[in-house]
Amino acid sequence: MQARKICMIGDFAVGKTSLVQRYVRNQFSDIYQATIGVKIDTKELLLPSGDPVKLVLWDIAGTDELTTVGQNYLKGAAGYLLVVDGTRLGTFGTAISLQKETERLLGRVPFTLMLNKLDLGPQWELNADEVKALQLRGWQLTHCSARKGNGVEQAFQSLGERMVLGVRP
Amino acid sequence: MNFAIKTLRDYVVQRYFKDARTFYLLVDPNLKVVSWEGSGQLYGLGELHAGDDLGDTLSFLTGLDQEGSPFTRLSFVETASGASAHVHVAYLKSGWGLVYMDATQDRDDLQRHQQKANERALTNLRHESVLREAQRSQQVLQERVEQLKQVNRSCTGFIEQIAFELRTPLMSLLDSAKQARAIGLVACENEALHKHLRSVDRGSNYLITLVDNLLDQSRIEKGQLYMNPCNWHLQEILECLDEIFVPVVESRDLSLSWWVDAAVPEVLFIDGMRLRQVLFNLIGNAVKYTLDGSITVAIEWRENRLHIAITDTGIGMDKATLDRLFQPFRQGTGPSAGLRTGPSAGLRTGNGSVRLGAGLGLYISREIARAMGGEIEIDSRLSQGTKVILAIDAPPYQAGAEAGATSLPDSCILVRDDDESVFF
Ligand SMILES: Nc1nc2c(ncn2[C@@H]2O[C@H](COP(=O)(O)OP(=O)(O)OP(=O)(O)O)[C@@H](O)[C@H]2O)c(=O)[nH]1
Ligand SMILES: [Mg+2]
Repeated sequence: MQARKICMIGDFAVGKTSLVQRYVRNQFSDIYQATIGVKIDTKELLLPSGDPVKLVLWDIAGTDELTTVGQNYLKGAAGYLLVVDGTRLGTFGTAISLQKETERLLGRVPFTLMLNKLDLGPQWELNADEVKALQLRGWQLTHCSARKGNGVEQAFQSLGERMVLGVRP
Repeated sequence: MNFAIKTLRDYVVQRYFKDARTFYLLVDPNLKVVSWEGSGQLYGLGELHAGDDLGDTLSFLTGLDQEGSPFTRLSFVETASGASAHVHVAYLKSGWGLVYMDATQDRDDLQRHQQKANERALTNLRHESVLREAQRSQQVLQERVEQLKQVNRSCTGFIEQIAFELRTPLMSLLDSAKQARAIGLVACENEALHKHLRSVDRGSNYLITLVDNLLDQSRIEKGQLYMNPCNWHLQEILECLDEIFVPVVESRDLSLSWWVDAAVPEVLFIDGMRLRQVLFNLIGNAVKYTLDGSITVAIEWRENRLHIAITDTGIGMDKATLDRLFQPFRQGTGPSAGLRTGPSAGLRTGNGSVRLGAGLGLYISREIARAMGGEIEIDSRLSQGTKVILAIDAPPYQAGAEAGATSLPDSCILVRDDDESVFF
C-alpha cells in the first residue's frame, strides 16, 4: 500500500493533537497536554478509486517558528495541515509565517488551513476578510472543530486525495 | 588505541550510552529486520527476529528515502511503548540504519516545563481578551453617554427656548396687574376684584420664578453660570429678605432673628443678587418646614469668607431625604419621601395632596454657592430641626469696582423658590 506523510503544523494549543485524535480514534479530550517532539499515528484512507493509502500523521509540538529540530520533522512530508485556533488571532499570523517557512523547505506541496475550535463561535477572533483574502490566493481552508468533529474527516480526506492524485497544492 | 583513550571511551559508553539505552537496528528496504544490538524493549521493539516486518512501527520512515541527506536526527519521537527517543536515521543502499536513544526522562521534564509555560501564556491571553472586552464595553458605554449628553443638551436647549418664550408674556401679565392696581383700583371697594388681582400677581410671580430657575438650570448644565461680583452692602440684602419674610413669619407662631457678627465688613465684593437668591431659597425652606418655633440666621466673616448659618426648629428630615436633597427635579411624591425633601419636593398639605415645584431651588442654590467658591452643607434630624451652612468667598470692598444695585427689584420676583407653597 502506498503511504504519505502529513505534518500537523501550528502554534501551541491550537488543537493539532486533538484533530489527529478525532480523525484516527474519533476521540476528544478537554484536557490540554502539551506535545513534546513528535507523535506519529497512521490511518488508512480510501481514494475515490477505491485504492487505500496509508496516511502517516506527524503531530508536531506547537511552535511559532521552525527550528532546526522542527525542520527535520518536516522532511519527506507530502502535505501538511496548518492549524489555527479561531479564538486566538495570534495563531492565524503564526500559521501564515509557518506556511512560508514550510514552503521554503518542502516546496509547493498540498496543504490545508484548518480554522479549528469552531464550536467556540462567540469567542471567534478571526477577521473574515483576511480569511477570504487567503482563499482568493488559492489557499484551501476549512472551518472545523476537533471537539464536535465537524470538518475534520473531510480535511484529511481532501488533503490525502490532493497529495496522491497530484492536483494543485 | 591509546589505553587512556580506550578507557575513557569505555567509560563514556558505559556511563552514558548505557544510560541512554541505545538500541541499534538495521532493516532492509522493505522494513524487515536484518540485525540489531541492545534491547529495543523500551521502544516497543523487544522480542525481535530476523525477517520480522516492522512496516507499521517504522512507518515514520515514509518519505525520508526521498531526502537529499541520508542522515536525519529526529528528537523526542514518541514510540509505540510511550517512551520517547532521539532517533538517528541513516538511509543506506541496503536499507535503513536506526539508532534509538532514550529521551523519556528529558521529555517528561521538558513536558512539565512546557506545559506550565503554555498554560501561563493561555491564561495571559484570556486575561488580555477579558480586558479588551471590558475596554470595548467601556467604549460602547462612553459612546452611549455621549449620545445621552447630546440628547440632554438638546432638551436643555429646548427648555431654555420655551423658558425665554414664556418669560416675556409673564412679565407683561405681572406688569398689567400692577398697572391695573395703579389705575384706581385702589379706590375700588370690590374685595373679590383685589383678590383676583393678587392671585394673578402670585401666579405670575410663581411662573416667572419657575422659568428663571429653568434658565439657571440650563446655564448650570452648559457651564455658563457666571457670577457678577460688585461692591454690595450686606445690610441691604438682609433687610430686603427680612421685609419679604416678616409677613409670613408673623402670620404664624414663628420668629425670624438675624445675628450679624461685628467683624462682618459693611461692604463686600460679591454677587449680591445671587447671594440674595440663595438666602431667599434657604430661608424660604426654613419657613416652609417650620410651623412654629424659631429661625435664626447667623452671619460671620473669617478669612475673606462669609459663613451664614440658618437654623430652624422645624420638622427636619431623615438621612435618606438628606442624601437626595440636592438632586435636580427630585419629587418627593412617594411614601418614602419623608417629611421634608427640600424645595425640590412636595409639601404635604392639609388634605394630603402634594404640591410640586420643578425641584430646582436647592440644586441651583448649591451650584451658585459653588460658583462663588463656596458650598452648602446641611445637617438635620427628623423632628429636631435643620441647620444649613452657606460659606462663600466674600472679600471686602474693592476700590474701583462697581457698586451693586442699591434699589432691589420688585420684592421676590427673581429670588423665589419654584415651590409656591411658601406664599400660597
Ligand atoms: N472547544 C474546543 N477545544 C479544542 C478544540 N480542539 C482542541 N481543543 C482544546 O484545546 C487545547 C489544546 O489542544 P491540543 O490538541 O492539545 O493542541 P495542540 O495544538 O496539540 O497543542 P501543542 O501540542 O501544545 O502544540 C485542549 O484543551 C483541547 O481540548 C476544539 O475544536 N474545540
Ligand atoms: Mg499537541
